Amino acid sequence: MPGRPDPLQELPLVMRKEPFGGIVFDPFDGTMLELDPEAYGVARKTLKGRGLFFSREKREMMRELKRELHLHRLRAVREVKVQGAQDWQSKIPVPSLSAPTLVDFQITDNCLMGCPHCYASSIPKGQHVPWEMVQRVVEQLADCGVCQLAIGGGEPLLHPQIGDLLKLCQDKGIVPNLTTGGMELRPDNLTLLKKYCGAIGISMEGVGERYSEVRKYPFRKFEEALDKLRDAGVPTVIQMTLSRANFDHLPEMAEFCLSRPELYGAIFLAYKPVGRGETYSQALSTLDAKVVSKGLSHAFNLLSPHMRVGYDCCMTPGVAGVEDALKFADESNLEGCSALRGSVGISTRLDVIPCTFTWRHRIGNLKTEHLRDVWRNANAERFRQRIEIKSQNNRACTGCLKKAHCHGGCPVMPLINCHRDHIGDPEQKWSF
Amino acid sequence: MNILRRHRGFTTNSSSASEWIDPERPPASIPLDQFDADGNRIVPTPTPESGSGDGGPATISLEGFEFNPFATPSPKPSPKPEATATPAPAKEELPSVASENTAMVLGFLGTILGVFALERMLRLWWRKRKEQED
Ligand SMILES: C[S@@+](CC[C@H](N)C(=O)[O-])C[C@H]1O[C@@H](n2cnc3c(N)ncnc32)[C@H](O)[C@@H]1O
Repeated sequence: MPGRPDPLQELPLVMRKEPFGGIVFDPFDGTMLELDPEAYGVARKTLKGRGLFFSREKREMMRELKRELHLHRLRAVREVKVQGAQDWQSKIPVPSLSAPTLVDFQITDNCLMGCPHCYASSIPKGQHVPWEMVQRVVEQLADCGVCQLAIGGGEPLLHPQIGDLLKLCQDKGIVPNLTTGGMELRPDNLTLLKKYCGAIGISMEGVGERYSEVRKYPFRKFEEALDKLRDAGVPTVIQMTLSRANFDHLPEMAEFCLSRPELYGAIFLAYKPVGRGETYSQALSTLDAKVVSKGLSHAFNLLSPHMRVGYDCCMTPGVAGVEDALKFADESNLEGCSALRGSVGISTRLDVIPCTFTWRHRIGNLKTEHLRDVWRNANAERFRQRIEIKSQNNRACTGCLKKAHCHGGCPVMPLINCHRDHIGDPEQKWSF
Repeated sequence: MNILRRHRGFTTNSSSASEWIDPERPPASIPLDQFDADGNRIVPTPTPESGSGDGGPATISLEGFEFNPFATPSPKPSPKPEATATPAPAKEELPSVASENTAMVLGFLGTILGVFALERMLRLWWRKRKEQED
């Protein structure tokens, strides 16, 4: 793929056995495949160059895997065996992995932007996570076979060891991605981002004046940041947090994304009333579900022919209502809350939390425990049960074919509604 | 033999995991026969305690797919008739690897035998030719 950072091409593919078969992750473009036991067996042999005596069916699977993964040349493989994973399996029927594949790590509380909606309540005097602690966390991630690290904060580019962290990830075979406000981009860190990161997210809550109302910087500065990223060849995602305060502005935001054809993608996040942002606005669940559905549908359709479109997993019920209108999506594009099923958050205090918004649901701490043990502890199981109960008990999910993917929305707070178009009851509005 | 789910693209989102909709690649889809009439995925719903003490159903599940020994059998014939037994497939050796190994050993033996046979035939032919010449 032209323009891809070289170090990512050198990273080994990650293989990890799971109770349902196994996963294969290709750091080249962030492809994650979940395979059944037979397909996993084929993948193992193919990647080890031992597919000589494959039956016809297996040869077909081998060809499919070669299409999915970048196997046009010999690639190194890292087969991860998570200690004790073979003896553990979640008791909760909601599908979950034996260890996380994606970790969100808030490496600092320091940020100069002072956004009023900030769930992390970051401030200019905020502390950075000490380097020894960062190293400790990354060691544990590698032990667990984590594939991607989403680095957040605060402003991660203000952390004095951000370069060392990106390099450490590379050494451990983990793809680092990062979200920034974009005001700290300089030639030195742009080179690092280009060299080590899979992609980076840059936040935008509005266009023009609406941007500077939130971010306190002129929109021109944001556009300059995008230019810098483009010129440095960094795969960039515009990250848009949607709340009641800016939902009417969604079409302008989508149009703006269209005007930047260099983008890797555009991603929409549901606003959560958490931290300093608790009283900033109201969640999308306070808007008419049909209006939200229509707005999202319009934005998705506008952008998807030109770039990847993404949404954070807590938005799934809102997307479940619109995806039928999107020719390219089917229900397996829907995957509800991933907290403690495939992903996990780590706070600046090294608390392990289901996701970075749910700091009240601390399930462990990495100063004293290992991530693989925290993943399997009783607190984690209780949280998984919350997800399970959410979709089982949610009246709005009765009879919905997508319930098994969507899980009925965020198990902690009401964030977005589903208007059930997809089960033929468009007039009925349901609240979570 | 299946790819159960694909996710393509880097996840930058430092808040929660993101789903990418990538128009170029259709995602793997899950057969409808895995759902009951109410749209529930067919899985037993043990309490957190069950499945340990009482040897209850071992549901081994993951994003978008389940191996559930107690689920209604799907119309497709299951490759593993022993799937009603409780032990988790996770702990078993991958069947495909085992059978591949057997195939490999057999193939190897076959090749050696073939080489021997060929050598023998060549010898015979050579001897015959020598005898004719003499
Ligand atoms: C906390 S910031 C940290 C990274 C960086 N400082 C930035 O501004 O992007 C990460 C992302 O979370 C989003 N965010 C902040 N507060 C939020 C909230 N209350 N609900 C949902 N997303 C929020 C931001 O807009 C940003 O895209």
